[in-house]
Amino acid sequence: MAVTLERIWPVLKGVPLAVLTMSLVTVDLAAGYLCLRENEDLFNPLNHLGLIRWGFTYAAIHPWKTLWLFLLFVLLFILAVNTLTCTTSKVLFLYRIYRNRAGLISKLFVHIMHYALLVILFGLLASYTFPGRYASSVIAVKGESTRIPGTDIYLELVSSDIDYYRGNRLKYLNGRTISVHFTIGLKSGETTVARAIGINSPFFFNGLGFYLEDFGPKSRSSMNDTPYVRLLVKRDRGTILYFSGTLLFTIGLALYLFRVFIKGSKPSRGPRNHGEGK
Amino acid sequence: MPSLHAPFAMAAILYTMAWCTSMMPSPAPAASIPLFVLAILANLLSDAARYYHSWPFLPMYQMPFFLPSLVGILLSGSVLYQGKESRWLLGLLALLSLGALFFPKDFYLPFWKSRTIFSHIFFLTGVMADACFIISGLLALSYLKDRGTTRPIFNHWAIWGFALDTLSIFSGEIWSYLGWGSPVVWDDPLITLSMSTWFYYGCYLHLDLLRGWGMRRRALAAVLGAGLVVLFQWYPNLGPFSPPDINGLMRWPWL
Repeated sequence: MAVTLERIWPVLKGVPLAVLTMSLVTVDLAAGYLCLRENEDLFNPLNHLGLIRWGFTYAAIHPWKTLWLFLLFVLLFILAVNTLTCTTSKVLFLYRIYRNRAGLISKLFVHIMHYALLVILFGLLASYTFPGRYASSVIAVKGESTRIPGTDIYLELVSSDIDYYRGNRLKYLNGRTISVHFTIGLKSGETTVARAIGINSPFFFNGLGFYLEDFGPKSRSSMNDTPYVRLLVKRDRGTILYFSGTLLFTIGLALYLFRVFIKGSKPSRGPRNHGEGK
Repeated sequence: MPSLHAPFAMAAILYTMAWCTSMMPSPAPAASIPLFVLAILANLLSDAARYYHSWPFLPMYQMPFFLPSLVGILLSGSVLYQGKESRWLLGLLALLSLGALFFPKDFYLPFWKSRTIFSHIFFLTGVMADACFIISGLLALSYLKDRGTTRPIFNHWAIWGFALDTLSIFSGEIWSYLGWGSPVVWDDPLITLSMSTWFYYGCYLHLDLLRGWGMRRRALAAVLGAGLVVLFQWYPNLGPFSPPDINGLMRWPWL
């Protein structure tokens, strides 16, 4: 066992494995494009069903059309293990070399990105493995309270503010909605609150996210002018992780660019160690 | 109302004329400079018109129309000073613009979920990244032709492309989360191609750590990357063959 691990370890933490895996991910995603292009309806439910439920239903019926996605997860898992082992060994190596010298921090900029990528992947995994969606859609209208299935939350449309476009610049939009703001009343037990929602402007209540999926009326000349909103309600367990990872990656990338282009260091990461670590 | 395609058609004609003059015997290539400058201006006018007719929403599937102007502006120094890549650049711009002119995607009405700053950052940084990758490939080709005697600046363009591509993907992630409550919209095939390009360049940036991967091999990888960008980002945004709207062109005062 120890001998096997001794043989596997250098391969596992080597750059060649990272390069090979990322090349395969490139090819796999290109194959995914071909599969997705003809079967968008097959992959759409993945957005809300979650990976496990989707895997046992849609993917089970169409294994060949969804194989690329499962292959992608395998490749990303290998890449994550490789990144973790490779980056950690490199960081420890740099710490030993630069412990009492200046320059350690600037050598770590690239590794911030590597760890951030791991946080993003873990966040996406948490998000899609345990999506915790409560309802495919909840429709709210004025004067009628609707219960969100699986919760004790009732919601109701309190007010709507719809702007219709008038002008020559966007002629195709004349008389149609250009911006919307709705106020939603929420009641959970003794708590009653009102929250505003709009296009790309969700709100959060009791740990649930509320997103505007659809609304009406969409045009001034609509046959039915009763305002309504259709909301997507979901609890996303990966949000904090993948957005923290995104922020961390951006910081690492900005520092790396600063080091390469402002301070003029070589783009390569410290001493060369062919195949020894990133 | 003048046609949206008129300034772009003019840009494509001017890019092609600039390319043709650059290949003629001296002193004709000098004429390629004013033609190139006029082409860039016409292309920018076309970009502005497309945004004007969709703002505050995102102009859908307009990447092939924006790409030549960005590639041209970023490498304008090479053309203005008659650098050795100028002929290749002008040829590339002519091909990219003619492709967009004759194979436009159907006109898509902007959709209301694109009304956020993140959708615009997603689009613009994405096109800028593609422009950087294509320039990286072009300069790598020049490096290979010179047998590695020049400075390998193609590497820096690839790094900028990767940074901009990352910014584009992260903006798309935030937009997707705000609009659809999910960081990835799984039913959009073009997202997989964006991710594919990102992973390719992630791989490219690690090549310098591999034994035996000197600058020449990395230049080959940069050329391959530019080819992938054309295949994965530019080509899927084209539609079937459709000749330009001549009547629309005639409504412009200069014609």
